[in-house]
Amino acid sequence: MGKFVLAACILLLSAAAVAQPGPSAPEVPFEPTTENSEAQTPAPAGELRVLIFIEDEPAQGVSLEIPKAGSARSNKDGSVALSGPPGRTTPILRAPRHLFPAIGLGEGEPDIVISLEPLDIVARETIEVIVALDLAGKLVKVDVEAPGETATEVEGEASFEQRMKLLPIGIVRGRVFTGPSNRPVEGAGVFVRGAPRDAKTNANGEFELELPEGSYDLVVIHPKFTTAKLKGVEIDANRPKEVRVAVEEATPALDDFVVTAPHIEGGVASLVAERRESASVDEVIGAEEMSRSGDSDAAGALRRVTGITVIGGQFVYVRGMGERYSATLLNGQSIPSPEPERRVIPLDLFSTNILESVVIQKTPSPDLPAEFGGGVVLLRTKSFPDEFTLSASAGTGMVSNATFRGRPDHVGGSLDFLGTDDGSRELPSEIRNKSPLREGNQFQPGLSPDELAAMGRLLKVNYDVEDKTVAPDTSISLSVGDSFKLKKRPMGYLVSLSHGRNHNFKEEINRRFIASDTAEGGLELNNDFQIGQLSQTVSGSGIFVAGFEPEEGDEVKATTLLLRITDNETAQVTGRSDDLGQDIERSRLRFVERQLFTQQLVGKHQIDRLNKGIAEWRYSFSRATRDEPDRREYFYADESANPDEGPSDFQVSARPAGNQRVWSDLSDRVHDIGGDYAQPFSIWSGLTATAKVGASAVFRERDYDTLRLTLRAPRMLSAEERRLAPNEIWGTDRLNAENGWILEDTTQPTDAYQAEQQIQAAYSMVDLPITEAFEVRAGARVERSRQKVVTFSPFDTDAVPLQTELDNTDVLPSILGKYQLSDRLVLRGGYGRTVTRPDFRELSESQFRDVVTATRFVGNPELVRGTIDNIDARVEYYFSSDQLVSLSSFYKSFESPIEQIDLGGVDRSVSWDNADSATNIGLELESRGRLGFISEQLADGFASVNVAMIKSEVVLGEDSSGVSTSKQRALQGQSPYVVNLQLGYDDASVSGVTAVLLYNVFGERIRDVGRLGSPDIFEKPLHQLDFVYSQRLGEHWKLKFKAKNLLDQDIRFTQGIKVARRFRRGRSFSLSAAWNWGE
Amino acid sequence: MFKLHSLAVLLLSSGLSMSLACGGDDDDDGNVGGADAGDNTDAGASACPDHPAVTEMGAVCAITGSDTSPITEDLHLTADAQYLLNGPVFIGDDSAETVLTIDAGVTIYGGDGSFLLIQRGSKIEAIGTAAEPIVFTSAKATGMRGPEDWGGLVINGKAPINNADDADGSAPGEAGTGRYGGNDAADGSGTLNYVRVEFAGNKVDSENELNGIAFQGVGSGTDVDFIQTHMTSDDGIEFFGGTVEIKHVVVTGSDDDSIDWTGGWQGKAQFVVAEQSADSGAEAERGIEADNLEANNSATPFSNPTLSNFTLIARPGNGSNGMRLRRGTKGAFHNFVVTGFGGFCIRVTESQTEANVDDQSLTISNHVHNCTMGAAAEGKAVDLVENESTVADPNLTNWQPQMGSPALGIGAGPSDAFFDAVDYAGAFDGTNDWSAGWIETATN
Repeated sequence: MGKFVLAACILLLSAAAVAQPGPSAPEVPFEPTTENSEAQTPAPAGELRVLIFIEDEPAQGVSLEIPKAGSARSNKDGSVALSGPPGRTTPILRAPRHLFPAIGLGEGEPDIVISLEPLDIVARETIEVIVALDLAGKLVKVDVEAPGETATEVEGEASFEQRMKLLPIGIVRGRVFTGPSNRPVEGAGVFVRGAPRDAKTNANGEFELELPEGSYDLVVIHPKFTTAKLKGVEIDANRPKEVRVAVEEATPALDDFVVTAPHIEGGVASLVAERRESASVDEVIGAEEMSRSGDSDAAGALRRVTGITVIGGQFVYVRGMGERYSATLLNGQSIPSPEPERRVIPLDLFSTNILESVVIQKTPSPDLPAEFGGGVVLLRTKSFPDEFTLSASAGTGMVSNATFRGRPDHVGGSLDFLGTDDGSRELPSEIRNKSPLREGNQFQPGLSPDELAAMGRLLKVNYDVEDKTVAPDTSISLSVGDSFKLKKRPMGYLVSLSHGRNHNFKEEINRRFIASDTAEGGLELNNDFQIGQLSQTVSGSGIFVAGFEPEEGDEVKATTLLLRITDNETAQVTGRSDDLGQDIERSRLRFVERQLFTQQLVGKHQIDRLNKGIAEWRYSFSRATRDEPDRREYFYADESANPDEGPSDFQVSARPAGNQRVWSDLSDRVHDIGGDYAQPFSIWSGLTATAKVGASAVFRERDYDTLRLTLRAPRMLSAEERRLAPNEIWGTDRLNAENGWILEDTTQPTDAYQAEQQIQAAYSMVDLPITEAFEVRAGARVERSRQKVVTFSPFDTDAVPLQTELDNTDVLPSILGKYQLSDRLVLRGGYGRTVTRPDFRELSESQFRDVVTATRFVGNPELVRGTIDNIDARVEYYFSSDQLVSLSSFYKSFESPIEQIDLGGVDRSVSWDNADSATNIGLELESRGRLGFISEQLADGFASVNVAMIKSEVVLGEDSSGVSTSKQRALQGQSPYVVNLQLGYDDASVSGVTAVLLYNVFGERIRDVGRLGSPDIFEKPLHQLDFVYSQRLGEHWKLKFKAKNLLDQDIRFTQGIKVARRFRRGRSFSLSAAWNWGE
Repeated sequence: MFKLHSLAVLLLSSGLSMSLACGGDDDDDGNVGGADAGDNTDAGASACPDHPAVTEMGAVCAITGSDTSPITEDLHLTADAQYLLNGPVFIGDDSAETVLTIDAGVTIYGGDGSFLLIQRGSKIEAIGTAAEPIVFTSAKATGMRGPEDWGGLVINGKAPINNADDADGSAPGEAGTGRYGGNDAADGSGTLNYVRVEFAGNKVDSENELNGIAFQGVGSGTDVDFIQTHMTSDDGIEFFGGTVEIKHVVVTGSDDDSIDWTGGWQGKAQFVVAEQSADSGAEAERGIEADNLEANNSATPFSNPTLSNFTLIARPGNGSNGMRLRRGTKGAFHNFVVTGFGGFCIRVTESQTEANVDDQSLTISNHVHNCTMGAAAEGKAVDLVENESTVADPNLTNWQPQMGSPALGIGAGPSDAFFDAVDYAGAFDGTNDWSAGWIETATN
């Protein structure tokens, strides 16, 4: 709904200005004064600034002429300024005729010339004049320091009056003060851009305005003080908006306090404002920032945020806490996950194209899910625009170590470029129908070897790996949206589509070390592999948003979202396998399709009878799928008699994992239904508090299914045969029971599972302003979670399924306080209790083998949910609406946290247990600001830095540590420090240039815990430098150049003194052009 | 708070019926075989034992009892019937004792996906005779049989291992085969006398095959004398820790290693013959593959068995090494013959294993070898075999050393109550064929 208002707000940039009205000014002839002053000592100049609007839109290209002082043209904000000597003058505006469509575009027609009333330029002062013209070039309104003047009713304002009728009305109250003692400023005019409403401050410096809901810019003007502008003041009918405006004695030095950042949703200033106004400790990253930093998905964008690290390019660690501890909500609603074994949402799915902003709320609050550790990632998708917008973009790029180079690839399907399989990887239905394939015998029915060989012949023969020249990356996107009236009710829509193809190549050294008392560094080299892996990623996203306001104060909005990522991967592994005692050459061909579909419906209803209480409801259905059809994996092993002399005789392996074809399929579905009611009420101090209650229910169910096949040679094959290329050795003619291969089904019943989770929650909370400056949010949430997982005996399809359930009801209190010491200085603190729950299969005793890593997992039905006590404190200082410094600290104490442990035995097997306890403590510093204070030339420069320092410790306890080497260690994945720096130049409004240099580094973190005496594996610090440059060309075009990973450092993992893994990603460069109409 | 409370009550008590609607019925988790066993009793004429886990299935008595419903009532298999492992069969629940008694002459068949597992605390009493051995074999018809037709025999005991993850000294078995290991070195898992395990080694999951016989943490109180594994995929016999002692062992046609140990085996073995088959073999299959522990070469207790009188014979064309001593294993190897391997007879790798050679916790004596590349791979294996070996053809016919074989009269083996006193190397003395009559030689 705010969108409609915002639209008007941006369109109708009417404002007020400061100047002496002509008639009351002293009658001093302008020219003589000028001449006099020129003849004698030069008088200090004054400035005249004119804001010109044509039909409520800023008019660009209008000349302002002051006789004897020169002329200048207005910029796209409709603003033009000229300096001149003090004295009376008669400014003239000359507007090109094409600006006035109502009078036609005659070739060579003269400009429209408007002569303003004479006014006085005052030395060292700026006079602001606002001029409004209609489309016929007729003067509608001139405001020259006209505080309190009632705006003339003109055509353009009808829409505002309409909005007054349509939208819930909110109140903004404010106090204007000055100086160190906060002295009230009386008689200041308060104007609303885009609204014919104004007010004057009383003796206490207070004012009050009623406005329809939306976001407004307020301008506070007083002849003796600086003009203060408050950008993006959000009017909410639920809650009177309290603003405090500090003005300074007018001196030019304070000019850079004037906010120049435009308020657009997703813009830096609006998000800083959001963060400032929030009751909780939040980090906010918006579309503008994501675009500026050139990150293409949410995971990439989030690594710029204070205290956040991204692991594996997908999972967000908030404050060093693993993916288990960061929940993700999409527009406030739960979404399913395409991860086969986890509930966590991989954030690489979310293209930044569709995101308006991402908020990371770091303190728990009653209206958020109870499962909360480091923070909740709140993704917000874009909404429809305020006016017709059409945009399209296309780009291309390259990666230094992949593009145009020969890299391993395999023959795929004809539709791979679209990110979908054309059916060529499909499992033949004859096999699916008969699975599990069992060989019969004298006593039991089943398939004969000949039948199994025939089944094998149904499989497509497609194993070979061949080098292919890697194509450049490409991307395209298209977006269209509009707002209009349907039966006189506001309505809007947005459709946005994107498609991209990326390539990336990883050349990795991958070693495994194991403990040995006698080896150097206590580590014996075990496996020693080189991996070459080409990934071709096709990503697509589509979003459709439609909104409607059926009644005044009501709103219904539907969002449909489809995200899809397909990874086509070819990996080759060569080197020494100590497990086998041989050198091997392994190939792996994968095609993984991940998709998230979500349909959300939200509504809002204002109940005027109940003091404008707001009722909101929401429902969503989402489905995440992960489909990995026909993963092929096989290896050849060196059979030469003396491997010490180097591998020389590779033959296809007959071992269990010598060749495998795997089909796996996941579907995760979530229904989320909920409602909230917010009731504003007055309290003792006359301030308005808001009580809020809500309830929600989330139903999640998932099915996972895997089918594993292998080809087995019942009789030993000759060395000559085993040396053949894969397409030959498993060619159809060799699939026979006599002297070739037959199909074998190695699917275990545990390769499938079903799971469900139901969460019901209710909460109550109150936002209570104790004083104007001190606000408390307190409340509690009751949440019941019931989860169930159904798996099977690993060996016996017919056995009774194993079922494990976990049922907990928790009451979780939280309290947050916000103390606004001044408009600029905000203190916050809070406490809240949250829980952490086991993932589905972690609870099931049934053992299974992960389809991605082949690691064996054994669940633990004894797991209980853990609890976390979170304490937070933060101080923030705002220099302006987009410049701030903040310092946060947090302390978290865990009871029974769930930690992954290693079990003993010969096979590596991984389980989970409740550790005894854990703590996590940290400090976060963030600062962002403009560089104008260094020098005038750097006025368009900005810098931001954030640093997080975190220390965590998990105490595993003797009973719950398995064979893990360290019984006491940092949380897995927690970096002791994370630093982000950005240095940028943003002159988007004038030259259209934006350039940003971004730097990111994280401290070493545990990636894998060691077992049986071998040390933990650490990922070493990685310095990353990115550069993004964009250039606006004319009104509709924009070019963007991105250079990512400029340092291209080795990504290194160490174990003790040894390097266990090492690879590079390559530098990537891309260029894109965007065209848009509207905005 | 009033609102919150009432809402919560409303929500949570409104019977949001949690029919987590999938999977089986809780009430049905009892004895899978129970009902069928009743039917069986009604049938009357059956020779199948009256036992809840046994049902008549055509010509055989089918035994059922997977990990989720293991057999917890003693079971006695008599020679008047044939038996089929109907899927995986777990004897015991890993706490109480359940005894599986198998009479001499009994044949137990296994089909695709089946194996027999004896849990900790339970026992197998399989006492056959040379005339009437007990046979675990493929359920396929003779002539159609091959390695990997069924799983194999797994015995879990409570003897020490070196990779436990629990205070009771235990660890999860390979590929989900129960828990094994403990603190009782003298633990007994029963008796295996004149027992053959054939055509086993089915894949138990996508990454693992079972072995012919897996001794997982089996203690020295177990009596293992006269056993054969034959035509098995993966290893013939594998020890995962434990202290079990074995005697008169034949391992034929194993397609991976014939004898394999890891995880701290501290047992003994005497009279072992391992011969690979031309009809079975994967790659890098060795006569003996000996580890202390892959994940920690220095884990304690070390694998440290004493072996005497073994004969390792390669299949034709095998390019591997005869004995691969690695990953920190210790041990004493006496009076043995290694022949026919295309690589070295002995190879020693990893620094801990090398250190064991240096401090003589890994030793050999009275060794006859005949491998294409020589006695020992460069490095510590050379130190190991120095002055201890005889390089010559052992001159074997049907495993027996012929007149003039260097294996004969080579010197005394270990002196220990377990070991018979001998003066020859290898499993046979040239005259007495202890394998006669009870072993299988057919390869399909």
